Amino acid sequence: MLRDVTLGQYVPGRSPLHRTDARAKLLAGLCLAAALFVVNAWAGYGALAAYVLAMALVSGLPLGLVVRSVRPVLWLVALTVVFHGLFTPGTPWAGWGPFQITVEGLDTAGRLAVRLILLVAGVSLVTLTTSPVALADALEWLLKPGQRLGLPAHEIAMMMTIALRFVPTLLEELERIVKAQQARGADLETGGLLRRARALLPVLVPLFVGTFRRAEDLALAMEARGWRGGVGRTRWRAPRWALGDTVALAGSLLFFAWVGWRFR
Amino acid sequence: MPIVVKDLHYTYNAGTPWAVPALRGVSLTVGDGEFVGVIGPMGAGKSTLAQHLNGLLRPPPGTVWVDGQDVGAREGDLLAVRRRVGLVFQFPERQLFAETVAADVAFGPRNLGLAPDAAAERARVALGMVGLDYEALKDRSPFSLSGGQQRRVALAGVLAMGPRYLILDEPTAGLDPAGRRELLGLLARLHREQGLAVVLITHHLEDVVRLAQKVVVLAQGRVAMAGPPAAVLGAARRPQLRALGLDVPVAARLVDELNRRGWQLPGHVVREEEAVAAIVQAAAARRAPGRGAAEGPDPAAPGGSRPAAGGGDPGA
Repeated sequence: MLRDVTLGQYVPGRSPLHRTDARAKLLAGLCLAAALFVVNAWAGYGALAAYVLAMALVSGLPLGLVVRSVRPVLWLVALTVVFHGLFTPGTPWAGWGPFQITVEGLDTAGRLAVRLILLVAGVSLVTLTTSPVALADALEWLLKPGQRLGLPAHEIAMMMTIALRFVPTLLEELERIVKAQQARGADLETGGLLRRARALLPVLVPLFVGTFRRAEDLALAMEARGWRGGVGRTRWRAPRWALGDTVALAGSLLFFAWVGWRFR
Repeated sequence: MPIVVKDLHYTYNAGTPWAVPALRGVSLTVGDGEFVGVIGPMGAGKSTLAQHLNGLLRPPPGTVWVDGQDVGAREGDLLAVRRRVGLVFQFPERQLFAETVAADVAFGPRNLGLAPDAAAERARVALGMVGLDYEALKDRSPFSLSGGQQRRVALAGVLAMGPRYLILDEPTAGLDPAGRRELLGLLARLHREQGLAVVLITHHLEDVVRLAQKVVVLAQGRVAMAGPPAAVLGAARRPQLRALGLDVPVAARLVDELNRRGWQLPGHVVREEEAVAAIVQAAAARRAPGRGAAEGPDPAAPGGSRPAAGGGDPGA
């Protein structure tokens, strides 16, 4: 169950999408999000869906993997669909007593669902094809203009790298602890809400203790290797912007702009 | 009644790009009260195997049997299996959570449905088994103890379940030599005095050689060798063990080294005491040619003066 989390997971590869500069991918991802919220016609969603699908094919990843990455938000999608379906006034479509599903409600719900799913799929494509380090570098570059306003761009990027880096580690640790307590007969899967919440204590306490221990170790290791923030730090592997990146980014942005303008 | 494993396969992340086969047809038996050493290099599938033995990873039906119960059977009673088969994970002290040592050790028995008094009594007995003083420690926080003590408390937490089989995954990892000797001594005592079957999973042949009645070598998800230590670690097998990246025990290395210099020590000698005895015997035979049966006709041995110097001291 825990291994299903694809958030921030990176699948190494050599596809064109993998090789595109992380900054281009990050910007394209942001603009895709913007386009999704500007577009208001079904044809526009179709065009953006085609874009996401094309990128998924270019990435060479198994499509099932991209689909799986959407799974965590499906309950959110379901929730919005139910709320909008039930509580939007308009022409009734079906209903039982006080509960009326309206045509307008279904329409709004459908748009929201498509937006959410495309957004998550697009973002997942970025994280699936970009190594966490490259992603953090790109983020730092993106935040750089804010540095003059006192925004600690490097520190934020570093925190993000570390957080992403530790997602799988902590999941693994969580799984270990769950198993260790199950080996002692702990029952984590049945019972009411309160019972289950209390049953989590033997899992959460060791997880927190372990997380603090790791954090201390990491801080010590970083200091031992002379880390003192971003000032004057050079890069071993500087990202190189190629012509292909310009073409890909410009093409994507033009496409988003056209879709956004055409299907407002 | 034993634990029986028959042709067990397991793949992590099956059906994704991260699929990793861990077990590819493992079969073995752990007899009642038997001390079995499972050794193998990293990634051989040792820990995966361990988790199948008490149903943490659900084996396919018909592949793992504990005292006649099919662990993989649907509707099977997993709690009954977990009571019988205690599993001590690597770095078990990292599973401690309760406010007091007594509460932590009693966690398992409480999960088995024992009343607080009975569970506390189990905790007292279990802490005694691992050589800790219940009265002195029961109200202390487990996090205030030393690392070695924490590990014993965690071990007591599993023993308090009253298992018949104790499976330990790298129990000596991260301990200093003294702590390691102590823990292995503790396991030997549990095996001898409580009649517990012990499965010791490790990549240290040294740990296994002294205690185990049977050694199972795992490599790449398969059983590469199995049998009594003298057979598995015998001279003929040692190159294969080295190829797997396992350190052959010091005593066996000494025997090999001496044999290369013309001694003729028996290759099945792997324990320290046996090696010392064999070397003393062979050295005595060398000093008095004609009387030693194995060493007599060996005038061609290179460095003939050396064994006399080396063998004289332990013989005296």
